Amino acid sequence: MSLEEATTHATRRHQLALEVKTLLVDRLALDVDPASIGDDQPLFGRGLELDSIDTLELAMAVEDTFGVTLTDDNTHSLLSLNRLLDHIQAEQS
Amino acid sequence: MKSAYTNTPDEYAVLRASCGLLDYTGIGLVRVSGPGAIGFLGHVATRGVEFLLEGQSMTALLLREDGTLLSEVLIHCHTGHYLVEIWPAQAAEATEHLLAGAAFAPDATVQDVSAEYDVLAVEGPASFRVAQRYLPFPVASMGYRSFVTTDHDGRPLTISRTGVTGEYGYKFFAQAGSGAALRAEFIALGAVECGKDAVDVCRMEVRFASVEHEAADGDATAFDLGLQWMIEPGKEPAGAADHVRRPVCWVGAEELTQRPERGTALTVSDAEVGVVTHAVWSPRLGRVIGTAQVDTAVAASGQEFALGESGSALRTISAPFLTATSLDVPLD
Repeated sequence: MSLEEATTHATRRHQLALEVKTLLVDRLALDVDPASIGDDQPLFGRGLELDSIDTLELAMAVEDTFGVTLTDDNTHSLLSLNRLLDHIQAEQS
Repeated sequence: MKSAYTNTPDEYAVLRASCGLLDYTGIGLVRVSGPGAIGFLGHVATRGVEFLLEGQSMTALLLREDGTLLSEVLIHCHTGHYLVEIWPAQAAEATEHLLAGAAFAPDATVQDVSAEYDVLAVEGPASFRVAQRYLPFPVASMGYRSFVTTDHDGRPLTISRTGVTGEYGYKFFAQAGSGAALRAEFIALGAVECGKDAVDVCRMEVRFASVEHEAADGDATAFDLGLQWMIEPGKEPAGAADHVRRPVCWVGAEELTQRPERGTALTVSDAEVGVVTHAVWSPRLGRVIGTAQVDTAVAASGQEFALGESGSALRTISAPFLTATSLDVPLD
């Protein structure tokens, strides 16, 4: 991997991360600045403290926006924002 | 806390598969009471406690005057007071910080009450069975970050569900002097003594940021550790977001068997792009795993970097490194 490739990869990832953070905040009406959400921040428990209802809403929002489905079989994709980004990128590629 | 009782891999296996016993000797405990308690904690911590109900606990950060990270703390809301719990490694400085801050809060009483308690914990996918022995209600109804005070052998015993390994975890706050008997009971119930080195591996695997290691130089901020989400809007220290590097998680290549030192450079095409901040050997993954600070321009999951002079490869990945065993163990 070259420095240019690493930079390009990170730029794409940062853009997607911001889109997902903004989606999270908007659709779940969270009282936080999207930019303050960490990439490895947990979505449940000690992180954003989402609950099962939030999960359903988030799954619908991700499907509406990115055309990517979240099911009971890939709940590990919701352990952190970065995990969710991995899932979206894998499904889109 | 002892580093290890037997050896770290065995103790790690206990924490991930059954029930470990942790001795929190050296933990910091500060009681904040009085009409100014809420205001005091709102001033010194990065999150306000005004919405915290009795029996609930929350995490927050303590920052130094210059905005650097002093400690992550747990604040427990008791009847008439708050108990601030501090990880042993930061206990002395954080306790001093809180006591010094009290000089500017005449309506709050701030006391170091560490000597009043013996604190033990059980952690692991089977730890809830031990906790159940001491609870007057089904353990399943005890929510994460809640606590209850019960009676044990005629003495008050406070039990909190505030684990640190990603597995089920329960802390026990017993009256000073009664910890030895409680420890013996836990061991008789099958808990195995584990040291903080094994805990440290578990914490890394589930990406509980370690202030002890990742902010070891004393000049790291919450942003440097990815903990900015623990700062309430409006409480950000000046210049908080002006960071040229971000934290990432990484997994070393198979040939990397020695943990790299903190500060070891990471490179891409011979250009230095970051440094290692902490690393451990993960028995379950069979790899060295760790955290690093890398230039924002390349900070992302899925990157391939080279490590220090060895040039050994590592790959940045998304946290957590693995899923805790307890996630698939029902509380019954």
